[in-house]
Amino acid sequence: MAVGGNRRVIGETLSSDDHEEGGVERRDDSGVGAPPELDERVRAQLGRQLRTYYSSLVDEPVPDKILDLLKRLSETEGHK
Amino acid sequence: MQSRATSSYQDALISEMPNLRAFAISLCGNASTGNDLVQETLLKAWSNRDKFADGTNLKAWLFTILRNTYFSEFRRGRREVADVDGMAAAMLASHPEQPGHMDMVDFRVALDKLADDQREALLLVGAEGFSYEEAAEICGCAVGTVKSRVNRARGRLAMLMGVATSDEFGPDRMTHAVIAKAGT
Repeated sequence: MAVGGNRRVIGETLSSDDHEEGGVERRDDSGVGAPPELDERVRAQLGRQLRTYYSSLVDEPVPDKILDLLKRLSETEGHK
Repeated sequence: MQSRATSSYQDALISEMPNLRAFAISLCGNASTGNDLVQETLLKAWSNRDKFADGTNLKAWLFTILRNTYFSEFRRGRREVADVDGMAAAMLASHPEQPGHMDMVDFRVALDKLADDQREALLLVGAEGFSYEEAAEICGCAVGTVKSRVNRARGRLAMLMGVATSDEFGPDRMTHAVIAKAGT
């Protein structure tokens, strides 16, 4: 899984969009620059994985402490 | 006594909680910080409810407050708090029987390795389904910047996930593998 160091991807091209962020500090700790355009099928697969992962979180019950906070907030109405 | 307006605002907030929380946890890299971030967001959303104009998009408004709070107050501690390996281990232990579970763990770990702004853009557009324009408004940046971040996020995810290939190949080989796969 380690894609570390400051290695650059051969054949990497900078799109015009990348120049827009040229002066922005790069927090991406891999140091890998702009990736090549991905095949539509790879994109679709990543999209499916993202939505599967995300919907598993959306489906989790909202913790009581969050619901309790909402309840407390509505009860303090008029006292702030 | 609750006014009707307050109670409907509260109901509207409640209905946004599952998605707001999913976004917070994905952004923070762990559930406990994510839940704290949601609570902080709720406090701000509540104290600023007078500024929320009827007819505007409550969801986008909440997401804006949450991401601003994350970047101004929560991100600093992220590296110390985020525990991807621990989280992966916990996920492994919790639902090992689920099909595709390993894929999900790999995905979670890879997502957490993205730069914050790339992960944010990918979550807003790819997971939440905001348009590039809406995401740009939420992030306070140009539409082109959002597009660029989403593209970078996808590219890095592909490499990290080994959609390209496995660890024994360097990034150069991985790139070629992605391209080769793309050509099939």
